[in-house]
Amino acid sequence: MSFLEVDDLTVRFGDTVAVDHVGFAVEDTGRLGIIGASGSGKSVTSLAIAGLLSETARVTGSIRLDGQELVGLREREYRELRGSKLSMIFQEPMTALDPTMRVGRQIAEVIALHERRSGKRLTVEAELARVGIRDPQRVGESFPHQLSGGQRQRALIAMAIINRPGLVICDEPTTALDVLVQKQILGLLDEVLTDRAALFVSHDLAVVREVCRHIIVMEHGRIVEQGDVDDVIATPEHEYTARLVAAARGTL
Amino acid sequence: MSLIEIRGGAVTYTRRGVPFVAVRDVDLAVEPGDRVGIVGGSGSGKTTIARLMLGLVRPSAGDVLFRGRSIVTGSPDELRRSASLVFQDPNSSLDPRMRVDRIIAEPLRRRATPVEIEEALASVGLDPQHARRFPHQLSGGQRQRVAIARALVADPKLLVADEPVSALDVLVRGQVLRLIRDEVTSRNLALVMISHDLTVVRELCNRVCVVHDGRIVEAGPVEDVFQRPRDEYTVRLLEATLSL
Repeated sequence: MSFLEVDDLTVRFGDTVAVDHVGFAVEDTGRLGIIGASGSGKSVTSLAIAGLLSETARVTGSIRLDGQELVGLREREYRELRGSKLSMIFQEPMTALDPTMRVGRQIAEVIALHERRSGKRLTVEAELARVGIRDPQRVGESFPHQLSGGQRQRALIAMAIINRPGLVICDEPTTALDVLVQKQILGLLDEVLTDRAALFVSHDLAVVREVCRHIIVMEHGRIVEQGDVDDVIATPEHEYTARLVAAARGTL
Repeated sequence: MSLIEIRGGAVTYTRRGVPFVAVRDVDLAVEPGDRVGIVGGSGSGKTTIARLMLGLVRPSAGDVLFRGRSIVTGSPDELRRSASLVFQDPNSSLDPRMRVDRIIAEPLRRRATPVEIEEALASVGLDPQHARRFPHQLSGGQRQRVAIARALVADPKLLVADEPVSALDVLVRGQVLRLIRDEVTSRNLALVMISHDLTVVRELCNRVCVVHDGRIVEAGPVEDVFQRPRDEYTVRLLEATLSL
């Protein structure tokens, strides 16, 4: 049995089918890249797994995480799960972090949750240092707007891994960053995702190739192609994948 | 004579009461029909250089000349009529309360004829039926096309594009870049393209300036800089650029 098993997942908003009978599996240390353009259903798929879709979404099919069925779970149960077994890293850390709260306090809240569960003592500074923040004390005392995009994303990654989740879902985690910071953050993610399962959602094949070996390509809510990332890039079978590859190569 | 030239330009902002030099010692000339890329990381000063060039920020040192005349000591009016700007995010650069036809006609400072609007829409690949829509009724790519139509309607000589495709979907990016390239070529416009994405600059520009820490650390023909970078920062930027 795989750590994450998605089977026949369908997500509807009214009459619109955003995710259409999608299935895949990720092993406990596996990484899967989900590639697609805007509206392909890649983010809705990841939000469905994290239980973060709006109430208007109708989710059918099966999502099993470490053997536990997630479809139909109550919000209270999901909240428990999000703090322990799965976490998410979003594209824009500015909106994922609370702008009115110092970063250290936000991290301390997650730490408190962790300590209640594990009984282990952690410090904000050590958790920030673990994600490569050089002056953790100053960063901890700062509000999100006082930090650079890279520092904010590192803080968010710190929060995502404090509870040692089995699955981390990264949704376009480097899209808002410049190329130099992107490279650093991809290196950090590669490191922190070791020994856990990860879903890596992006429109950028070159970025996904940095962290994943296996990818699925989504269009109109369906998986249109899947396989080894280098094979898919070298010989895309689907016309849509070929267009994504051409776009990533930047040839006008 | 250059179309626009920055000589020894510097810009100082005040941050929490403390002066902060955003760019310094900037020497940059853009000739008619030139296509110049300005690349650098976040906070490098590349957008400030563009703002300086357009007279949107006053230099704390140096001068900015449009067709040989200072826009710092003289009037920037002629420059304003000859230059236009396309921003990164069409969501915030288009007035949400205006319909597309009014948005496009803004730079003309008069009511545009239906034929002018139709031509402006056609030039960016949009149907005439888009004229009466509001920005929220368009996709991101369509909105950026409207922003480009607005930028071109008053027949500028210089187009400054600040990260024009960063907020767009990967498949739409190519379409919008092709549109910018084709319009710049057919109208013989000078283009200044600000981007952190070196691939974009390589596709569209003939010259490139690399900005780091508020200074131009390297400048030259695109292929020279990309194939034989001399500055350590340029090397790092090129190494960090992911490609297939």
